[in-house]
Amino acid sequence: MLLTRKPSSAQKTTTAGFVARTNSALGTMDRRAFLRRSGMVAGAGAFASQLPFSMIRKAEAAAAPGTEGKMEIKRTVCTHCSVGCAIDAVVQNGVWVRQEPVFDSPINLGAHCSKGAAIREHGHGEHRLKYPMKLVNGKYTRISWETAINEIGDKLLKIRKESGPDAVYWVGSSKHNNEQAYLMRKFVSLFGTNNCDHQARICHSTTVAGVANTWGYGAMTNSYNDMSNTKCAMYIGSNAAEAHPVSMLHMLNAKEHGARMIVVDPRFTRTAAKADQYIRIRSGTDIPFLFGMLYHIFSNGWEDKKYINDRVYGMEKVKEDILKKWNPKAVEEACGVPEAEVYAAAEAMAKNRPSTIVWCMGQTQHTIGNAMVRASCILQLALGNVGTSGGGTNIFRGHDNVQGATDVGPNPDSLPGYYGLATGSWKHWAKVWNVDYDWIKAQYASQAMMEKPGMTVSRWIDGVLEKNELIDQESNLKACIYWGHAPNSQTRGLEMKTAMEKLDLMVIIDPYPTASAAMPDRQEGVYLLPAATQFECAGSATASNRSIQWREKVIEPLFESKPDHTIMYLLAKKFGFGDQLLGKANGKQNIALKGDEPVVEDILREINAGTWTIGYTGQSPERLKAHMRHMDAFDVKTLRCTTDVVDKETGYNMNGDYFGLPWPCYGNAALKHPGSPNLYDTSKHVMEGGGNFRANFGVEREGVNLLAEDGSHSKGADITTGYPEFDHVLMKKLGWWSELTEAEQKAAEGKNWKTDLSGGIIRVAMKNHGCHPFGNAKARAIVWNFPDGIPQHREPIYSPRPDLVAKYPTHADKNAFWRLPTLYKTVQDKNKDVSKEYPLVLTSGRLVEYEGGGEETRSNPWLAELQQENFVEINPKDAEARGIKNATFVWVTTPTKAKLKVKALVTERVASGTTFIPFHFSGWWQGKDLLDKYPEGAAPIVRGEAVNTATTYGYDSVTMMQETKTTLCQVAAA
Amino acid sequence: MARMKFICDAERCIECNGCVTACKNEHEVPWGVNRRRLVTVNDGKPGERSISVACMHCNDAPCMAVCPVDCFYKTEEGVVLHDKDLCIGCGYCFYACPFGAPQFPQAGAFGLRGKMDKCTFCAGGPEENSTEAEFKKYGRNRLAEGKLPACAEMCSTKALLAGDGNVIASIYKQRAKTRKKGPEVWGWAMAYKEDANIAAQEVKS
Amino acid sequence: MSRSLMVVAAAAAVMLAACGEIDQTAKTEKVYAGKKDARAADGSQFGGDKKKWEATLAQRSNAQNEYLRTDVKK
Ligand code: SF4
Repeated sequence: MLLTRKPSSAQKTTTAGFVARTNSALGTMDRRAFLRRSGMVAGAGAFASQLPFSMIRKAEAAAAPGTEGKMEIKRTVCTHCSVGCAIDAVVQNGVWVRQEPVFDSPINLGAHCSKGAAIREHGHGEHRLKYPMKLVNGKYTRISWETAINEIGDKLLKIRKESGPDAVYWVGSSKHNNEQAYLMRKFVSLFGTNNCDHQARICHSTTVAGVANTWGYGAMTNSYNDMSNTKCAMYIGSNAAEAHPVSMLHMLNAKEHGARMIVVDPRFTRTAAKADQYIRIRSGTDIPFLFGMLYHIFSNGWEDKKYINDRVYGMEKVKEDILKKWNPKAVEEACGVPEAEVYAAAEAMAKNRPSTIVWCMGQTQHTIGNAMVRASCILQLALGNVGTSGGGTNIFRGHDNVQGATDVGPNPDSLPGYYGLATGSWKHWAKVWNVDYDWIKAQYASQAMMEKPGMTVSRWIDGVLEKNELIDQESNLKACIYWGHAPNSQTRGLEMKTAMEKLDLMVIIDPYPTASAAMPDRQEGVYLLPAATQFECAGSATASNRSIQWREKVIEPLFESKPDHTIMYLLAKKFGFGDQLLGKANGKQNIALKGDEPVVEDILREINAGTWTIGYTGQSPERLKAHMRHMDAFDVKTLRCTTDVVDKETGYNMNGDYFGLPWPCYGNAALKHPGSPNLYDTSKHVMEGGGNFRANFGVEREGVNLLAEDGSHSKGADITTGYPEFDHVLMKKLGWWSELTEAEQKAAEGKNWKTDLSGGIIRVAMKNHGCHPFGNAKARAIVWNFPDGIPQHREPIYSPRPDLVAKYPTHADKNAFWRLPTLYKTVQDKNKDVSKEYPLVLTSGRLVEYEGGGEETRSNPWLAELQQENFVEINPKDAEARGIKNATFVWVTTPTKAKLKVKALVTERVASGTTFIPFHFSGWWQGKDLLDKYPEGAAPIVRGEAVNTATTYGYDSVTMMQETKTTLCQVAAA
Repeated sequence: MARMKFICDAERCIECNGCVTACKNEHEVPWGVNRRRLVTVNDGKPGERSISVACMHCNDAPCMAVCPVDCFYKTEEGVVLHDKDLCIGCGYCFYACPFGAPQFPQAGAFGLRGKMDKCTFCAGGPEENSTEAEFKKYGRNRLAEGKLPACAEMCSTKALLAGDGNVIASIYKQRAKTRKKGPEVWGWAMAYKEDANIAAQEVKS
Repeated sequence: MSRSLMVVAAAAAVMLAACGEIDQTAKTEKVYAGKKDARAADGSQFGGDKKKWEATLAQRSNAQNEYLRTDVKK
């Protein structure tokens, strides 16, 4: 077994020598890595005493160069972030022996960060969950798959019978491919509950809600590639150099060609190190900063007046609000940035158009996340930057398929494709699924529960712990299934442990045991099922730019693991709805079965058949696979193929397509929509990927027109003004109905473009008339259906500034919000003076070597070696005041009374008054290593304290996003 | 005639460690041995810059000069390699190298205990090309396959360049010219004395 | 004995060299004493065709220059 060794004394002595000499060669070197990467320093020093990989033996046996054996190249895509870097896996005799860069990929051109460059370890991983296991007397014991499915199935059926289907909580995954994520939503629906969720909740839920409510779709508008066309980029709440490293390739290219780069963040991140201007704001004050910029933009008349008139609703009122509230003095008071810096940023963004904005978790994970992201949208709308190449809101998603899982996966408030949960939505999907609507309804506790959004993953613990009379469903949660999700990514770890211990049943389905296996102190009632990784099955994944890429299966599932969709089928069969899962009825079967594995291509075809809303309909498996075989055909800056390139295998010609058919790719595959590289772009015809803002919020409000003004429309549209979305009535009124074929007319009668399963309405509107099926409207600067229609700054619940809490208080408490009571004012008031005891802001974020909860990447020795201990960044001034020395252990405590034992990293990266802890660690619990509690040999190589063990209460007022980015703590020497 | 060199573009390096894991992956380098690593100056402060460092395959390689058993040699392309069968693990090369490149695994990885190990420019060593023996002792031989070092080929921002000195200098020059910044090539003066700052001179002119 | 002393002295000189621009040329003639290595082009892939090998490598080098794909005139 590979050990995480501490440096031996021999190493220590040579380390000093190395440091000294490297200093002489390179100037000063106070890199933080010297603290954390003790192992690396030891390695760089002369005499390391570590063990070799067992992998070498394996490679010798099966893969040594020159030995005989079938050599194959499988094209796959990195699973560690939403950039979607392509990889060629070299497989010999079924063993993944090497990986080669895919220079042809327009997305990454062969480039990788440390995670992608270490991906092959997945093909060898020893630190995996190897067999189904069950907790017996506090020890994990191996069981067979048959026993596991039977016992878990019986237990869940019993809970379902006694407490109802809503007593089970299903945490799905953004690391599932599209087909698995989609099947999971279907699976949970057939079980009879909406209590399901996945990482998007705690990642970009506020973005999705905020942005979709502003202009139509809740996704990154442009692409990583398109950033090479920008003249100025402002990153606010994004540390792309660590979280989306290969995106920096495109940005640095733009920068070399003269683009300006601004980074706004409480930390001087590695991204900031590459910027022309770095602006330090206080954590959680994005709105004062953004509106401070808009103050200057409006004061100087830099806004795009024609664009606003034609395409934006409500900007006048927003302007009034901003000019009234956010003068430079108020801005500096709230976010700490002097006028000159705010002005410089505003000027740079205004005078270097197209300019773009990038945000990530720094904006989304706040109690006012939905308002922060809308403030960013308003900035871009004011500058006329949305719907143009080089502009847009480049919202970087996190996990490799978090976009796809958001689009078609297990969301508690919607069926696949953002159809929602209304009766009509259910009927639409029931028809696509080839399952009787009434049968599904009978699976639910009632029709009301069927149409009521479920709980969120950020709050499932309250579904267990909250008083029964206060929750908006029959029973409290009795079982929780963690299906590809880390628990340490959710806040309030102390309470989570209690909730885990209170459950009747916990099931963890994952390639790794995850912290869920080790956290609770239980004797029984926990099952672990080994899932295959995305390299052990095929399927599609949606990158952040909405491009969909197909992964070939690289190797067979390792050990006894099974693909997630196979496990879904096995459980469905046990529950008695195997046939429904496959859509088998009336002599028809949507999804074929190979052994126990539902055929992924068939699942994708079912997604294609039903997901009209967001254009997941044109991306047939054939088209996607053809793209993957001809990546070199696509331009790096536009993502478009502009010559005839014919795929031999399918005969498909991809001329005109954008790489990966970025959604929306409207109509069925035969329509040959090319995908949409940049959303809402009126300079292009809708059949060339053009568009406009969506008509989704009515046609008029208080006498004001919500549709686009005359002359504002996508290129070549037959209707040259604003128009509502298309349905059978509008088609008839316009006299276009006759252009539908007879069969289409039959299918489209009484339907709109989203529910017309023939695709006829879309075809006629787009192809014959150049019109957008979702209408042509204005974006909303005021989202009147949200708590703060015009984004308002509100202090975090745990604020370091009692004076500003009085000025910018949080929301009032809510009852039955996503089925749970949710507190704002009560908690904020109670903790108004808590900063006396906990004076430091605690924020969290990414390290480049790890992903998410980190279990997977901390089990990869090539990555684990680079980051061996968790740490807290603390400013030298704050450290000195507390007598804390660099690289020594400290205790970080928060108002929850949780204690974290981490190393101190004394650095100016954070300002005085702010601390930072990366969120990828787990496996320690308040100073104690939980190694013994993992199944033997399956614990990650590197373990450490999870920051979320100590994070506090607080949730977004629209989506239940957790507040992780601003809370308070105290630090003391250990 | 190709002369193999490395360039690390500090304006582009984002310290992602992709080069480090690419190397680990390609050669199955054991825990604790780092043929390549990142060095950062002004960490966490304005002016923060990182450089990826490995053996630079110097013209007049100091390691070669100090080796008591003369186990070093230079390939036609200027790659500095050594014979592990001869190496006695004395560590002199480690002290001689201005880049801290030589590594000394203690356990049995890479053939024999205690032998020096370092970046081979993905060119293997003195065993038959692309054989098991070469892989075990020195790692993969990408050059013999017509490929460049894995670290550079996979660099996230194409900051690290590897290949014929003239070719990569011209790539670097084009960039430096476009951005009008950062023409100095780090490490070149020290490693390739005679053609130090060629890139810089042409950009400035 | 004298040999190893010389080596140490050389090592020290080189260490200093790391600080500045001091000449690093070794003062002693060194002759490689190890096994002969095949040339890169001599592997099974190129069969000794050095020209072909160099051309392959030169082409491969271009993959490191994304300007060839972002700065194309259209
Ligand atoms: S983690 Fe992201 S940037 Fe890194 S290699 Fe994977 S996809 Fe590319």
